Amino acid sequence: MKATCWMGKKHIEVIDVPEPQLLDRRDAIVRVTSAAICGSDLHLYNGFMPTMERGDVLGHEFMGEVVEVAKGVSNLKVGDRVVVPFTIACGNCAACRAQMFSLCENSNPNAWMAEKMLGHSAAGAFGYSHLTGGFAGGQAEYVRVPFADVGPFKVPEDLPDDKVLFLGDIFPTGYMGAEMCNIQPGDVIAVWGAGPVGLFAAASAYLLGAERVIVIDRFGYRLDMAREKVGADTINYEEVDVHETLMEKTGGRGPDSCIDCVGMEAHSANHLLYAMDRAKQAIKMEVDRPLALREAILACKNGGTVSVMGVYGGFIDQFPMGSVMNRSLTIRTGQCHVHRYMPRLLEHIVSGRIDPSFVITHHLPLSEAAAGYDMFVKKQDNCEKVVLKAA
Amino acid sequence: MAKERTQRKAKDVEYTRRAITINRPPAEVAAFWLQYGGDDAARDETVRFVPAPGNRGTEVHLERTYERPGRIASVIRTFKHDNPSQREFDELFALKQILETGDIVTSDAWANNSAKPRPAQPIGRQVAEEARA
Repeated sequence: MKATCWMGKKHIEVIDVPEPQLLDRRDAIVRVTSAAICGSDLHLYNGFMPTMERGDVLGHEFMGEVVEVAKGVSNLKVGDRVVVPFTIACGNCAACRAQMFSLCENSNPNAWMAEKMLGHSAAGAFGYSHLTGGFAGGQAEYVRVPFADVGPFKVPEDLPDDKVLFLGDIFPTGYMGAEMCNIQPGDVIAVWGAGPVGLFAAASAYLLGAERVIVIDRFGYRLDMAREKVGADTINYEEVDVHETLMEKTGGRGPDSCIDCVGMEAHSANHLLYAMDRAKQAIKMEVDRPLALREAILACKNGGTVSVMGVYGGFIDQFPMGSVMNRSLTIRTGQCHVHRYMPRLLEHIVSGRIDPSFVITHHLPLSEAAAGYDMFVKKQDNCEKVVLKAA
Repeated sequence: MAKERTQRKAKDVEYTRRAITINRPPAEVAAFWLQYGGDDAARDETVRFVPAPGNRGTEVHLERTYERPGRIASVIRTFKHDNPSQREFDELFALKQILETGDIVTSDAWANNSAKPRPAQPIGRQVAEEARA
């Protein structure tokens, strides 16, 4: 079968690999009908995530049709149409029972590796390095889904792939980012990053009752989407000073909550600051460039919440802990507990309150995945979200 | 997963200690361990099963001592990713997985039962059958 493989830094190829087999008692095989390239895949593409191996199959945002189930899976049958959460969860451990599925204690066979880097291991994930288990991803024609009795979420036949595909990652990720802000009536929420997660965080903030949402980015077409599709106010950080503008827009208070949807590869209008972080990253003095996170912390109102949904992989430098401590800020973060959110977000889609397909700018055949990565990373052709069609 | 680990330096002995919390009752965990646990290579072994606070199952505390290998053997086993501390981790993690989920999860990178991970790619039917055998 064809699969999108990581062949080295900035080198993706769609190559022939063996078709997946049932390996464990709770496995299923899914024929992929749609898979997306996620912004976090670009961290792999750009070589910022450690523990990648040449030939790893990428893709953690996918859906399709169940074609085979192992004997331990009783709630799925061949032919079911499912969206698969990007994290793999057993459903039995203490974390899963507490609905914290991205912290599953059993699904990462490389837990020892994650423990060395992170202190404790989080859940396994599809197509996202060996640190998260070494599971083949879903940018392929078929994928093996472990713990298939827990993860795959059945979706109605009458909803097209484009409307439900993002239930597996970016929609719940944005939603959880907004939910962690504990939004109250009248709240103003600032979102760093107008990529797909940022747009879903902004849209979710409105769903959860925010008065106003302000989205910050540097790409005009993305800010246009934030205004036109989500109804957000916007700031282009290459045109104005973000902190000053946010203070002006919030009467000097600062946003009630700030959501970082940028993560480890942030840019800045302050070229000196950017160069310093980029240099530290290049010589491994820090793993991540926390430019957006620093800005979010310094802008947030006293006593407010900073919600971090952008991906960070390791250590950061010059973290403004003094601001966090002295101003009673709350920081909340985590990989999304996708399984927890899928049913309620499907309800939002079915009721018509949101149509997640608004973020899609490109459909490509799986065979052109490499071109999709290249276009996405270079932000060419106003690229916001690429969906690969495997079948 | 709760864990703790130390390695004491001694001339002839290597000491490992690790704990894990398993979301099952102590009697069940202990019975399973008595049947399947243990490392013949260990000189001494102590294992305790303690109810975890907050009704969170069982804490398994495992301590072992091993003969310290010579320098060359030590380098080889590091290279092969095979040492007492790692074995202890793998053993307790497997215990937890089996008791909590009924299975040891297999990722594509480890699907051929090799000591060395392969790329995260599906294995073919033949390799899968060989690994199962």
